[in-house]
Amino acid sequence: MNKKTIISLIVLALVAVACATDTAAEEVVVEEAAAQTTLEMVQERGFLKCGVSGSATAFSETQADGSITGMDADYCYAVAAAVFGDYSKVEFKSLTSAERFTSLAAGDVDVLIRNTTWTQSRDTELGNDFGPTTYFDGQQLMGRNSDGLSASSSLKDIDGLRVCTNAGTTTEKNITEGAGLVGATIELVTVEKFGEAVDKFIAGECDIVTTDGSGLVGRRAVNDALNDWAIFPATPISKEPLGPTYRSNDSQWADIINWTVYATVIADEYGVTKATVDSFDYEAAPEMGRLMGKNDGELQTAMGLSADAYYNVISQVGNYDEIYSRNLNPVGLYREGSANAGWQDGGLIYSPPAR
Amino acid sequence: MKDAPLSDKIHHHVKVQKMLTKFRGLNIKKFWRDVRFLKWSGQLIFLILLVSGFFYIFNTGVRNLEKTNLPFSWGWLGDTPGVSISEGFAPLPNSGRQMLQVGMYNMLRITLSGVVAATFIGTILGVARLSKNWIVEKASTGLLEIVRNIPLLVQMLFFQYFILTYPPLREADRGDIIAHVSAKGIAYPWPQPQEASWLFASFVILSFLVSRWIFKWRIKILEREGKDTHPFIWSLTVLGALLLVGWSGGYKAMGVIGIVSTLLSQLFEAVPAIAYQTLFAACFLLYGYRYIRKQISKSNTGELGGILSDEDYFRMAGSGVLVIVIAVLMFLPFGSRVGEFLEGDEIFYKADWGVSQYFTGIASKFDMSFSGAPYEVSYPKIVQVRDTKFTRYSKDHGKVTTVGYFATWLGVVLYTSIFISEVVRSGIMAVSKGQSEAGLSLGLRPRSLLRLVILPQAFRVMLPPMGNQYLNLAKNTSLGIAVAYPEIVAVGQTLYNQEGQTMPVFVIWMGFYSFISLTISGIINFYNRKFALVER
Repeated sequence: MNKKTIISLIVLALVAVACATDTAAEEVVVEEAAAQTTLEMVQERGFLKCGVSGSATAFSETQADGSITGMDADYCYAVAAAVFGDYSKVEFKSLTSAERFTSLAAGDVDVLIRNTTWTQSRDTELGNDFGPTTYFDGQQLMGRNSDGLSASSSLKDIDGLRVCTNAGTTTEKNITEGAGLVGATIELVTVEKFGEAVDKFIAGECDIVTTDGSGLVGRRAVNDALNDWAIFPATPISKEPLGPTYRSNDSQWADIINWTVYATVIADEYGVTKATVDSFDYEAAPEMGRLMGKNDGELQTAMGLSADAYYNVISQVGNYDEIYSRNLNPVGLYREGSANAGWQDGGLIYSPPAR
Repeated sequence: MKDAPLSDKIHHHVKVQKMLTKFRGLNIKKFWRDVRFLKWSGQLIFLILLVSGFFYIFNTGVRNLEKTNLPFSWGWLGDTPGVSISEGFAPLPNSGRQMLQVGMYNMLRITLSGVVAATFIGTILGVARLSKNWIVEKASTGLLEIVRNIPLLVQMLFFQYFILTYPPLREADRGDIIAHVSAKGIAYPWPQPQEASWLFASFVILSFLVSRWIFKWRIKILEREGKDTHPFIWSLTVLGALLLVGWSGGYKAMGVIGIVSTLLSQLFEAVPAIAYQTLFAACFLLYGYRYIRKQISKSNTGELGGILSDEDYFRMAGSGVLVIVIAVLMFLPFGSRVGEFLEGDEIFYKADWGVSQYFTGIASKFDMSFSGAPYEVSYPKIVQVRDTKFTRYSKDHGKVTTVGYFATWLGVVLYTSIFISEVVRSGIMAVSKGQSEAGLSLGLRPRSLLRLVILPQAFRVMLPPMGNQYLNLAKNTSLGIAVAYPEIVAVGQTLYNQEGQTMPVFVIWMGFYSFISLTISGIINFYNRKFALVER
């Protein structure tokens, strides 16, 4: 090793030290940036980054023109309407179920509305918080009538069959546990996207396909030309409350998301729709007036939003019933008699009072 | 000094220089100008910077995880994932650890069979590219251009959907079959190992060793006496005869392994663990000592004349540390008594190594009393699922390859063999024409020319790039995730989705792939050194 090499080595070492100190300084800056709340971040950016599936029928479907429609997509629009007063200020990000939480934790998206089930482990271990449930779902299975299955089949009937599902979801665990409980042995094939699972089901590689009931109904509406596909068991094998998900420990942002959902539910309770939001008599319903920012005592400004934030939500996106009916009725999912009916009708859709 | 004559001055100067050279190492005053000090301190500083850099990056990751309420932990390795896997030795893993092991097993299954198949196909394609037959040459070139220019992922997806286009299994298909392809997979006959399979397999290995020895022996006579001793015919005849004897029951001779294993098992049972632990440790220490001695003596005779290079120092220090670590490891309990070890009572005597159980296990596979055919061909069968309308391949008959396995395997094998064929072709073409001309003028027949002159030289050129292709194959298996093949990446993703521990899974992935890759390149390097030109 000659002098030149030694000198260059030392210089290299010094540069490395300098770099290390540089990054240390940067780190402080990053920490300061992290102290910025999600709301400030979103407002500064000028649009909302919303994580969706992009391929979940009726929840978030990518259309031919690149736009995304569906119930989850509508709630993304609703949040944008609340924050900016303009529902269109959304950038959708299509995420697979395997990457969604990482993406949320890394700050790639501000809110995740991607038919995501609220579970204890996701709430605690994964560093997420969950908003109010927008759709009460449950995992079901789908097979063929021609194979001897029907809507009254049970989990026992899948003993010895090959079942397809998508990776990184609660469905893998539910079906494994459920089959184990009734003593059925299954061969579980796990694919990346639910669409691939359906492809394998159609081709006959898999005998059964399983995911949330809403997803199955949606798929059946799209694919089933011969009315051959049966969804069973009648009572879902799991509880799948789907709703928005956001990073934990940012209660301001959590409040905004939660009350966006609640606002749509309360508007539904009062029967305020996109069409009637301007003509509604707010004097007669002070709660509604406060929520829409029409009366005194509104609380939206305390949340960091404009007073008419939720008025924008209802006038631009609509109330819960409108969002639901628009997206889910076409695929054969109706509110009446399901868990997604309003609480006055025996369902589970309920909101705390706005006061 | 001033008045001293010039010659004295020069004389004095030379003397001082000589002294300086002699005591250079002992000059304490200016040790920082000593090149050895600078060299070593420079390396030390660089090492510290490197290690602290890595530590810093890792630490940042861990701290960021804590900030997102995802503390780094390994606890999930013991938790039951509660997810079943379609392929592998444990369809319902009882712990995260086992689930990862299933993924590793699935990955290794494809890698090992893939390396063998890709080498075989690649060699044939490579030779075909050099063929004088126009059709053979153009066909293999065409295949090469197609496969080489399409991304591997696309090929795998294509193979998957290709199989999916086959009709599903129907009631009409039920019954015994020889081979069958459907959307459910590919079923084909398979030699089912019977109880004597281990005996027979070891007999086959022995037969090959014997015939190789015969070959060398005939060659020796040929070289000594200068007449054709037909080494090939001799060794093939012996091999054929041995295999025939083996198949008709001669494999029972391998029961000797079983007897020896039983004896060893009894021996290890009788001896307290500390005795053989000490023996193993002593062996390692002795080996390490001899290795270091060898390094030193080698350098003494080398061109540097007794001066050890940096690499020698590092290798000696490294192997010294490694040997000591292994020797200490010998005293850790690897068997069932880890709990007691941790509690700390009677560590060494209770340390259960399971060595005797290990030999008992071997003995049970090599029982002399086993008889019958070592392998039986098992034909696949299409059966009804319970009393339903569903139809499937029987799991106990023949062999069934799933769509995911097929697509991944064919994808990596075809893709790698194309590149191997190029390696083979370039290896053969790298041997200059003069070599074959020289061989021919010596009177060698074309076959001997290929075997004695061309291939040994081509092989030397082919080895390093071949190793790269094997590495690529091993790493490309991770694309199996796209076609629902549960290899280590797919399984790891499922796991971290269940448990939320992304970083530890990444650490395991990286460790596993590094281990596999380093093992492959280690093997290739070993052969590379063995076949390298001997330079004098």
